[in-house]
Amino acid sequence: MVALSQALLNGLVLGLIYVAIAVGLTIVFGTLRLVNFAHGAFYAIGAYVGLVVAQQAGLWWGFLAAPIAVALFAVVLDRVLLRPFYGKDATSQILVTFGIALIVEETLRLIFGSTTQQYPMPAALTTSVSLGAFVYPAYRLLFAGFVIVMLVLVWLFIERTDYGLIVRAGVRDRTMVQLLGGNIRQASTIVFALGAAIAGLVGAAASPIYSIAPGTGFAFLVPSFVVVVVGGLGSFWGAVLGGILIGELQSLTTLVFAPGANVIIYLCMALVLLLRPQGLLGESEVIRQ
Amino acid sequence: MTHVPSTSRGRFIGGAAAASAAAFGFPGILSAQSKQIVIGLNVPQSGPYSDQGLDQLRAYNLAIDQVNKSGGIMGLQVKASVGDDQTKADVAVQNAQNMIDRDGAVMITGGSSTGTAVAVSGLCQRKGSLFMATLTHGDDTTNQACHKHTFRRYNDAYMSSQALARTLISKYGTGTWFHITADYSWGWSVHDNLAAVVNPKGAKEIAYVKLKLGTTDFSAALSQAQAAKPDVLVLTEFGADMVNCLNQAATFGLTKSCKILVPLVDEYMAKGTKDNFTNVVSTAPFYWQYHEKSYNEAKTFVRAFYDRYKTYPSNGAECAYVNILVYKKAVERAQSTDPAKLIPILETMQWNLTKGPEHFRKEDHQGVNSVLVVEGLPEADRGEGGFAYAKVLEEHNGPGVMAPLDGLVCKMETA
Amino acid sequence: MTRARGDGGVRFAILSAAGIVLFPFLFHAINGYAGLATQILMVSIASIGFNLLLGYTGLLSYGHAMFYGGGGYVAALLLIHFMPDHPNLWLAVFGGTLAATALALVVGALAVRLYGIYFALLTLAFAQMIFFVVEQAEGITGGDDGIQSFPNALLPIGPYNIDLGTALPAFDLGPFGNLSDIKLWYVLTAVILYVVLIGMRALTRSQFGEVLTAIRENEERSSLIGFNASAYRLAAFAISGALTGLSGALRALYDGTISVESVGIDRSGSFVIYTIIGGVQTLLGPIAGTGIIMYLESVLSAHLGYWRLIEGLIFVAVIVFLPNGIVGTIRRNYLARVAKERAPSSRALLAESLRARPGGPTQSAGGAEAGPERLKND
Repeated sequence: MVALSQALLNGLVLGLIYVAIAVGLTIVFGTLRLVNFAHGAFYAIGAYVGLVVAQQAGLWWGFLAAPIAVALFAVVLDRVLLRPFYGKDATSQILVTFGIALIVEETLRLIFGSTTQQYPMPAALTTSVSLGAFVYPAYRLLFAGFVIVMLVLVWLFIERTDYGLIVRAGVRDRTMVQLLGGNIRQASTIVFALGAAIAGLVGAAASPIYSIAPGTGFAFLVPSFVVVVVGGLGSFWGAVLGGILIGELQSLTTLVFAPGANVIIYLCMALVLLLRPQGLLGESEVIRQ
Repeated sequence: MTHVPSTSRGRFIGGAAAASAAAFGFPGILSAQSKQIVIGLNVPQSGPYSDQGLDQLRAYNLAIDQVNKSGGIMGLQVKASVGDDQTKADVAVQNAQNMIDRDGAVMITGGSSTGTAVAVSGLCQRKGSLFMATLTHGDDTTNQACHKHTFRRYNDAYMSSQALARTLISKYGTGTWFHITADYSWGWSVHDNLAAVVNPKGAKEIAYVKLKLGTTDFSAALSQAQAAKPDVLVLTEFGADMVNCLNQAATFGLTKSCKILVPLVDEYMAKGTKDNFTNVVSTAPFYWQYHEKSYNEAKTFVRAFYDRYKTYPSNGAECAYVNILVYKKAVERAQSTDPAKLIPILETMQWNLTKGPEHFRKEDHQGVNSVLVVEGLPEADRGEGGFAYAKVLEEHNGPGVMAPLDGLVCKMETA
Repeated sequence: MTRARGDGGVRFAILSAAGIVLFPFLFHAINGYAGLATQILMVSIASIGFNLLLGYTGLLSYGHAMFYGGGGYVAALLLIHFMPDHPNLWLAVFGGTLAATALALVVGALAVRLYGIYFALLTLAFAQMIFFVVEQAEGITGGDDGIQSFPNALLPIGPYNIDLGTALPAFDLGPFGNLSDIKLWYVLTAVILYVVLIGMRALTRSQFGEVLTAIRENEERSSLIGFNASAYRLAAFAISGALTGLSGALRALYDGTISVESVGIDRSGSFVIYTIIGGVQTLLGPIAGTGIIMYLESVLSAHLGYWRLIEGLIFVAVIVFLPNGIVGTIRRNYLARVAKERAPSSRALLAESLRARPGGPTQSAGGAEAGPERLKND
């Protein structure tokens, strides 16, 4: 029972990271029809910016600086390079974003070196709390709560603001939104920056748990694609559901049959693609494009 | 519109490609001239063992500069060809191949994982090049995967396990042991050796969890360990993996609730884990603070290293340094870099440099030298930038902890 | 009007042969070495196969390493477990290729019903599954350490068993090295690559190739005409997988070592990089791209720690500025001058009309088939 509770908790923490990365990925696909293989780069940049700032000014400033820096980077990327690729065929998008991911990873390696770095943590946060039958690292619980709050805010943005309305409508029918006069251009940039900022924030916040290396972003990106596929490309709740599911699946499989933990999530991805390509909560219109 | 007749295009394109490539092509800087001796340094500069690899590189450069200043080897200057093996077997092999074929390296050295060492060892055997392995610890390098052209000075897992067990067995022998192990040849080697010594004495192994190299999240395994409440928790992890594992173990309360063993440690791992390494028991083949007190050559090395780099050498660095000096000695004795001439000399020569008398066993080319069992000091008690990380519990002499010859799988005549 | 005799096939054959024969010597002059040249040829076989899928069929697979590494592992395991005393290169390579082809048929049958991103992700999913299985099945594959020693495979020809490590007789060629730098491995690989190259040329110019292109450009119309798009795609996928498996098997036997990275995501990505930089929809592009990048990796890595950054920059630059890749751009510019002299064949006109419809579910990857008069329909 204890082992199961711990596994569920671990799975939740892992799942929430996936959710946070997948949300940005899926919203961007839904509104911009952009398959962004560089999304992991946002995570990595967030982690390193967070590290640098945290080393100078402390943990919380690091968490603040990361998403801002990443959002700026995303806006620049959008304006300079990616605009022509929105709505284009998936292959070109995958290729150019893959190239960008490579460049970002190698630039980070050039600047920061390849050695794994540790996030400077105040002692108070490295303690563990007692959860009845077992103790659990305090920071992980804090992190989980933090991500949940962040997701709620993002959801509010999508549901309650005008930009969010355009986002939701754009997922359904992009042309119609443009015809109706919605400023989809501006909303697009904001959405892209938002998705990136979420990934960047999580990159910084998760670094105390996972430590920081240039390849970490890409390492998280690939499972995030699993989440997006399972949840449904374009669906916010799909990303949430998919992320938790995949995180728990990985954690529980580790408990039961450890060698299968990584295989099973890709098996899920393959099954979803073959049997229900729009994912659990995705719109079936999405795949026709 | 016709299809493209790509005829003379072929030649043109080939030429254009070659021309553009030539624009990038550098003149043969590292040419296979016999005017110098090229040594290939194949170390991890990225990946989980990068700290260890970079420190080796510092030591190699120090050694090579010293050798060159005093006239080189056989009067020839030594040139290094450096590669990053990323702790991946295929990259390590490709690097070694580049070093030998492209740069004319006559000896390959470096490395920090048994997986890459075994791979490079095979390549060097095929190419007829000498391989002086550094910091590979798994038995395989000089046993299951032994080769004539490969020599390994660093302690092997058998030696460390013997040393560790002998020092601890009275206290922890009959307790419960929980193993978290790196899932590749080194990890298996260490686990098997430890288990073989302690289990017959009454230790109960309650779990053997294996995690891939490069794992950053140990929560699943540590949760299990916490639930199992073992007496001894063995973390057979190295480099950045060990740092992550031990630091995370602390957040699960494990550093307080059980005795932790880390079968092999170095200065960077101790530094990265700070106070979490307090009271952790481990082994090392060399510890600068300990050996410089007793051996002049060690003191010279440590001082020279500190003067140049403002930091103290890790045990992997010492191994790298001595490898170069031993190579120089062997080549000058053989008056040749030809492995056929060097191997018999390496198999029989002795030296006394940084830690007393040492030699290679001819049966498996394993270095016979001492093993230290150490225990981590609290961070506040560590001096020298955190590098004086431990107190030595016991020093075990090489000959006393070697794997018995009759148990060897290695057959050097056909290796 | 039928196609004019001599669409350049003979010239292509002769010039390609010359290129392959001269390559190692020219390579030596720019600080390459014969072993690397051999490896370039081997990997090029996979790139050519990959290009059939990406360039001519319009499908981006992000999992081709499963065929490359799969072929390699099977070849190695065949040598170790079934032929330790009489290691036969033909059998090992054939076995590896066969295994890769079978895998490609299975994965392909499932994947070709999907488009664009979904196709890519499915191939990625399969490749990752295979990666993790290979990583975990330590008893068979050696896990992270891989398989490090296998018997040296010999090539039986007639009554002889040839050791491919044998070098050619010594003959000094000055700055171009020495004839003895070349081992028989290079000769064998050169012959195989040559056959593959000529075969691929014929294939892409055959009706099969035409249909693939038509399907790539406009699937709806092609199926109305009666072509079973899925079947053609599957065939292309299988051929692509087979060639990649062949490449991986040869490479494993040549290197004498194979590890889990050969089925990893970086290896899959490398085929994408080589082919895009060289030029999709060209025959020589994949070879050029493979050669350039592998050469840069070898040369630059000796001097620059950040050569992968340069590789990434070249890659993005090519995608943005040279969508036809290096070879494709050269060819296209050259063709602009030559095109005016040639009249179209009827088959070409048919294919052209199939392509002419603007917009379609599966756009091609790097831009149009060469043709200066064509409208850009994007």
